[in-house]
Amino acid sequence: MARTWQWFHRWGSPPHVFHAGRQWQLGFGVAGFALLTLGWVWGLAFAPVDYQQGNSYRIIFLHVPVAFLAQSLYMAMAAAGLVLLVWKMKIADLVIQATLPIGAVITFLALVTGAIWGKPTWGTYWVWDARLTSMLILLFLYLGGMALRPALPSDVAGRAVALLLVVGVINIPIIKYSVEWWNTLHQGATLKLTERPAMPASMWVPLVISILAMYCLAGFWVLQRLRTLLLLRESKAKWAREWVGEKYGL
Amino acid sequence: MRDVALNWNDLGAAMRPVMFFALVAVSFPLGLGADPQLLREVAPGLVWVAALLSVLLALDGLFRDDVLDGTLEQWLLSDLPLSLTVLSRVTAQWIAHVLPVVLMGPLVALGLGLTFDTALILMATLALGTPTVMLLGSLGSALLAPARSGSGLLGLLVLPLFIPILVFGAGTTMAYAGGAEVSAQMALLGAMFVAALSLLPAAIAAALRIVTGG
Repeated sequence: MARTWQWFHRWGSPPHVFHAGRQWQLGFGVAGFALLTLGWVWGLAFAPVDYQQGNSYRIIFLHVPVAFLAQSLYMAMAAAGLVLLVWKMKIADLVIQATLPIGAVITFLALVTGAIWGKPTWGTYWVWDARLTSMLILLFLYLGGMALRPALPSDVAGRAVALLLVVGVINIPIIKYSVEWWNTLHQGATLKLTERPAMPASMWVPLVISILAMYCLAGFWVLQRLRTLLLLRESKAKWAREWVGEKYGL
Repeated sequence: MRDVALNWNDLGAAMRPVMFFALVAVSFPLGLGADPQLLREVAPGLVWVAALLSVLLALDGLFRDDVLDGTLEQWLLSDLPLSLTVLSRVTAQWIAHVLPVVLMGPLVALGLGLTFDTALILMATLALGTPTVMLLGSLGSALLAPARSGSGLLGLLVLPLFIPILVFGAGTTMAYAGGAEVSAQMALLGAMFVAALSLLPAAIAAALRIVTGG
């Protein structure tokens, strides 16, 4: 039993995360970049034109991956929050701190690309559609998490943010459900995504590749921030001084 | 009980949310124009939004003094579970600050042209919904207890969590005004209240423990 959990505990040690994280970061970066190139070149240049939406549908290769990511990152942060509250692993706090701004930017990107896509397709940038609205609320949940930390004394802020995220994640399905209910109640003539025939493989394969690419890139960004935060927090520790000394000859 | 009595002594502070509520409610017709048809249609939403804002006002600094003057330490030391103490504190605050809003709500709704029945339904949704909102918001208050300037932030933290209650509270009233059967929506509001009542006191207590470093 002790042996099986060892890998888990090792991820609680800052030097291990910093150095092993570098390898992972490299892997994610290379894989993400390669997949994104493949997915986007395929999707933007070679996938067939949609017979209803024309070329404007191609923003899907950016919009859908970031929309997926926006929700996954929040889930990941809430999981890290739970780890922090239950096992008191300090590294989880840094994971949250590293992920929050990235998640907020990604959510914002999902909203903006959605609005840009909405104009040619629906004829308007914004409708009070259930999915759009819950995405907007998700953005506010991110911003709330970001705003809470600087308002509190630094020794308690991490766990307070974690608690907020965990409560937020319990609320997300309720919010989603209620927003859907609200929308169907009020919006008789709703603007739907135009009914498309089931996507041909030449469209959805590059889409799936783009989604995978975006996840890898998110891993890359989060690790980048995580490692920087680690270095800042542990700047007095021996391993950190050694690494900076080696790298920059200080 | 002592909290309720204390609030009674400070009647001015306790009346602040309801006066705020009344003023917000008056501002809407002034901003939207006095068209009775329009006002009747938007009344449930207006009343609910105004009620949520006044709950925010009632939540401001709910636990701040308790943290600063050491009352919270006494709660931690006492034999009562912290979640129970917290629950009674929140209940007292609700009775003193939000109950007047619940009672005032239908009056405002009548003023905006809703029928008497609809106003009663609105009051029922407020009575069922605002305790849930109060509990959710208290979590934000607890997290912000040691913060120096919490009030602006509180809205950002807890308003997104209020959304289901707003949707169901205002939605139920509008559905009733439109002639629909609303017992199912009422049951859902009640279910949310029961869920909040059973889970949130523990979460609020955990928040208070965290922010006091306990």
